[in-house]
Amino acid sequence: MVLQGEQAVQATGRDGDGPRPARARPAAALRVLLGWVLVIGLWELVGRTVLADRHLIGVPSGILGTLVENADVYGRGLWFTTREAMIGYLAGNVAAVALALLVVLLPGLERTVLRLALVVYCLPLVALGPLLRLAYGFGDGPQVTLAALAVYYLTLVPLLVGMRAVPRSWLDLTATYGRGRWTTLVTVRARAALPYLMAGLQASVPAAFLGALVGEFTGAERGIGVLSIQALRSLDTDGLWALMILSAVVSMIGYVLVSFIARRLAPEQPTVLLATPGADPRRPAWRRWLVSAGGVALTAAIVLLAWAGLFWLLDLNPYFAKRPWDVWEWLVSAPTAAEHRAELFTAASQTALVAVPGYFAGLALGVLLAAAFSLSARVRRALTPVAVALRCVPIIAIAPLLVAALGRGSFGTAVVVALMTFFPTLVSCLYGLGRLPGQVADVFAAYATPRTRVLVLGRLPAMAPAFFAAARIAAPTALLAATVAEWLATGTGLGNMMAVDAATSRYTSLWSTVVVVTLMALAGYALVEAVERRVLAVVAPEQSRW
Amino acid sequence: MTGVQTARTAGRPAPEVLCTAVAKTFPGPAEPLPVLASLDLTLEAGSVTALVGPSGCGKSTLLRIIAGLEHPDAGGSVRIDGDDPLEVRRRGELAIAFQDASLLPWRTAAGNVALARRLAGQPVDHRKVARLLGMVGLAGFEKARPAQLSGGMRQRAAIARCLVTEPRLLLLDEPFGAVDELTRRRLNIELPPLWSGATTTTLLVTHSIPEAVLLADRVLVMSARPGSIVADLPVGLERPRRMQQLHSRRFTELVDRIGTLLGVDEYALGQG
Amino acid sequence: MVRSVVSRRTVLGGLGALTVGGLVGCGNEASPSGGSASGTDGPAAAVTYQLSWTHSVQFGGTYLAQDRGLFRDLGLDVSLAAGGPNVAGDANTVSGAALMNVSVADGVARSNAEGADLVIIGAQYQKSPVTILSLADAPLTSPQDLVGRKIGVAGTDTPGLEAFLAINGLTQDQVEFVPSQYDPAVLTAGQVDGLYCFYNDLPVALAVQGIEGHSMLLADFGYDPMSQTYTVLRSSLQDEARRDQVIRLLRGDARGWQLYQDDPRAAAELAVQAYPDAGLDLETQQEQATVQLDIMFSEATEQFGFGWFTDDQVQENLRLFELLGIEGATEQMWDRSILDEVYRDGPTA
Repeated sequence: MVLQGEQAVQATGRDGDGPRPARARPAAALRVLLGWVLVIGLWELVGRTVLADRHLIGVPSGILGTLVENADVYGRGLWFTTREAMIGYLAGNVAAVALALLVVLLPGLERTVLRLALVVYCLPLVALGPLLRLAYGFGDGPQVTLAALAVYYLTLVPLLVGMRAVPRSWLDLTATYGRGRWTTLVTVRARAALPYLMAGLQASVPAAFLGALVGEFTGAERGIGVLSIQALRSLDTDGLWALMILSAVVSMIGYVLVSFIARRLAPEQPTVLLATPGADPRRPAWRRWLVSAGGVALTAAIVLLAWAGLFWLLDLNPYFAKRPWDVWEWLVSAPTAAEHRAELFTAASQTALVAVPGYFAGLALGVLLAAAFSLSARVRRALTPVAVALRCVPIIAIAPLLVAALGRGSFGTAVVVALMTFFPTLVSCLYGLGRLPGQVADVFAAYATPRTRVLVLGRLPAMAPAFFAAARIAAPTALLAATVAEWLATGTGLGNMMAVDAATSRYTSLWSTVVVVTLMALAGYALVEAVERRVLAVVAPEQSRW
Repeated sequence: MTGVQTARTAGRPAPEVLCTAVAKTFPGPAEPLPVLASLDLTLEAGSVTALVGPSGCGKSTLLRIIAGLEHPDAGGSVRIDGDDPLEVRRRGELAIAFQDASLLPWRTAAGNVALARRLAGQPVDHRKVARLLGMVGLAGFEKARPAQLSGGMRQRAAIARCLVTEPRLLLLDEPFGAVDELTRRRLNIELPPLWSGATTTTLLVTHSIPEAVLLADRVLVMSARPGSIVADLPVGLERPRRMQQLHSRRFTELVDRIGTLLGVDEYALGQG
Repeated sequence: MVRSVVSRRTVLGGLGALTVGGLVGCGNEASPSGGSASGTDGPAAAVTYQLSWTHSVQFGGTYLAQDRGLFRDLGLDVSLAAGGPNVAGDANTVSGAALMNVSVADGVARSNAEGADLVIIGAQYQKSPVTILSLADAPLTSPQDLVGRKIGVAGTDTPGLEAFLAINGLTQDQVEFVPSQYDPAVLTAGQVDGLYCFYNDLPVALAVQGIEGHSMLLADFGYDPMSQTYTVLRSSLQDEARRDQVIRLLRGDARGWQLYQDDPRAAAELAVQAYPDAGLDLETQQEQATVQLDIMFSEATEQFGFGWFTDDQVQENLRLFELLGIEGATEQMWDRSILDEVYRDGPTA
């Protein structure tokens, strides 16, 4: 249960608090045990009294009974889903690394590649799931693909940040010997990116599992997703909770495993990165605007081409798989286009109303938790399992509970969004907080600066690149989370619209909505990026160039 | 120059530093690596002590141990006027200049210097920050970020950061290593009045023997790893020091003597 | 046309194998079999039959047909494709991935309004299973009981509930719609007074959990869209070879359901045994198997055969579509010729 970032935080252990007296281990273990007994006892009590017969939460004894009784079926289901998740995890992360390499070797492609990667990440499940099933037929294909899609972006973004987090002098070193990008990549960047890669790999563990699980909603015959649909529909609350706990435990094991590997691979202290600010050559504003507009147009062209081309190649029936021109007609050229746009606009504003507060709440929660974790090992130990569990439990399982507790209004939905977005932020920020260079940490130590102050004055600024990487990822995630929450709870907004469109075969409307969701995600991403560029120009100018 | 001092530290005398049986062993790749042999050392209140010795002899480690950033092996202790180094750091009475300037990349030169005041719990005095930056030759670079400064300029900013808190214990780890020779000489003359005297005890690690003699009241010569003190030489030149003293007989004698000590040491090392 | 479909899909299958599937060793070994309907002869024609939900005894008759080799005897190699929350059943038929799917009349009408050309050739349910489930201590027994109450309804079912209210002379503002999915917990947790769901689904779950509920079938109050319809592409009926496959598929399926009628509990056992990874509970499955007899078999099925539908039902459904705001549906959406063929010699397939 140890989150990464610990080694760096421990490094300030040499700030001379003096060796702590070794705590009596048995006593501590006993306290932890007692704590757990208390929590589980309370849970059981609440489940059996206040919430009895309401089928909102499973009770520990019932969950245990179900687990024992169904050990066979659940065990197999867990294995299937875990296997899909692992393969997807592997494929997604390999893809992320390949994309990162491409960007480093051909920096000119960076913007375009990232935009395309974002578009793919933004595709809503409700549109993608049936398409994947059509493309793959029977089998694990859609599950594995969705797991891979859920992870690759989480790894790609921090990885690119890490590839840039290189001291100028290291780059000069390879340049001195006349070596090119490849040597620099292998000898310098790969090593510097390792901690960031690990952050991505860790954050994507629960995502892979969740991706595989949701992939099973596309008509799979086995796995935890199938079992949980069954449990949900048969009011088997204990069974549902048992399944969710199994998912959480598997994700947690994967998470701890990756964190263990990360500590083995990247134990050293980060160094001071000195890069001159304002690296952006001062081109005239109109030229910068033209370049970025050109980039957007290029991306759009590629997306449209891929969209039409892929659908043609797959020979997807135009009844279901609408082409770009169908969407154009729906939104622009049809006589009723204005109505369609108005409908979409209303839904989009409803979604934004939920996604935006949820986004900021999720970011804040991630940063606050990361800060608390870095200040107190005890908090970290106590809350890490909760954080991982919250991230890997499918929202459909806890939605009834959340809705009962928070209501169906915007507040409840925003909370759901926050819960679904905070985790990558937490992991990324924890790594970021550990990126305070050792020498700078020494300066603080020379004044016996308290941890909280080191946090504010040193660790938070050092964390900025990691934080913004998380913030960029969180923008599309928040939007997707909001659509899911709307579908489940509020019955408004783009989420509901997509669900209704899918159920009533209004596929042109569905694809138009998909386009709008993607555009909104891209816009959110671009906004975050603009803020990021301003902040990092001061705090981490090395991030603004290769 | 004494006008720089504030009422806060003005009244407190410089501390005495007492190291007892300080040894340090690092865990090596194969076997433990002894860096410092057990040594006892007293830095008299208000003195300036220079530490010279071959590379890797544990000079910096000793400095870090005195600051309490590193703990000595069991049995050793460091007391500063009877206090634990941590206490002294907590009171904001200690300052270190590290070999690398270790400025915060996201703060300006002035911001880095001012930060030390905040960390030491002292009110930020912008005029004082500016004056110290001017004194180390960084006037006009207050707003520059570390990446925009040369290595020597960064080191000078770090020295200003050390001095701005008027520490009672000043630990300097090759503070002029990256500073150009001309500036270095000037700083060697101009800076000492800021820290010597009644209120500051200073320990300086340096590779430059003339610099050690010029700045210190006492020069400690260390042996190769594991480091131990092989000579303890009082300098005995009058203060304030001036450039002319570089050519005095006492000065050249001392420099030669230390050079011989270090050379012999290196020779012995070669034989071993 | 069909040939080029297959070849393009094969190309893509290869691509998939290079990317994800290649790492997995999965993905293209079980490529969709609907497209390979090239000839009438040969050992057994491979067809895909798309179910409307995840595996359960809801499809018990079909499992019996599969298990007892009824399809194989008719020269068909049938793959049963499970449905689920994120499965577009009609689209699978339209795209050719499935030869036939189980659907619902209003859904088919909507699909056709969006450009599909699907035809209903039979209906497994004689009565719509749509129901409003309430707890026994506060039962909702008639449409008038809904007034002033909170009803949980999925966004996709909202038009259905609206139509039901309209048929019974009620307006939308008299009932509070609470957006929810098919999660009975909202009912047991007291968040809603009634839940729009399916007769053989949540009410059974509630009963097995020992909670007494009351189920009001909307079909008893005028809302009766034809349900669990056998749905195929019109073009499949026009193509000689495919039409023949459709007939055989429907015949096999009907035979399976005839077996089911005799011993629904055996079908439940089969469902649990055939799909060990679906998490099915035998008791629940047996309960459901019995319960759904109510809506699957009627005097009409006794007289004409399983899956029968009448012209009256068609007209009633057309009127319902108007209420639901679905445009363009006509009698052409139904075709009883397959049923006529299957039951040429009486009500036994």
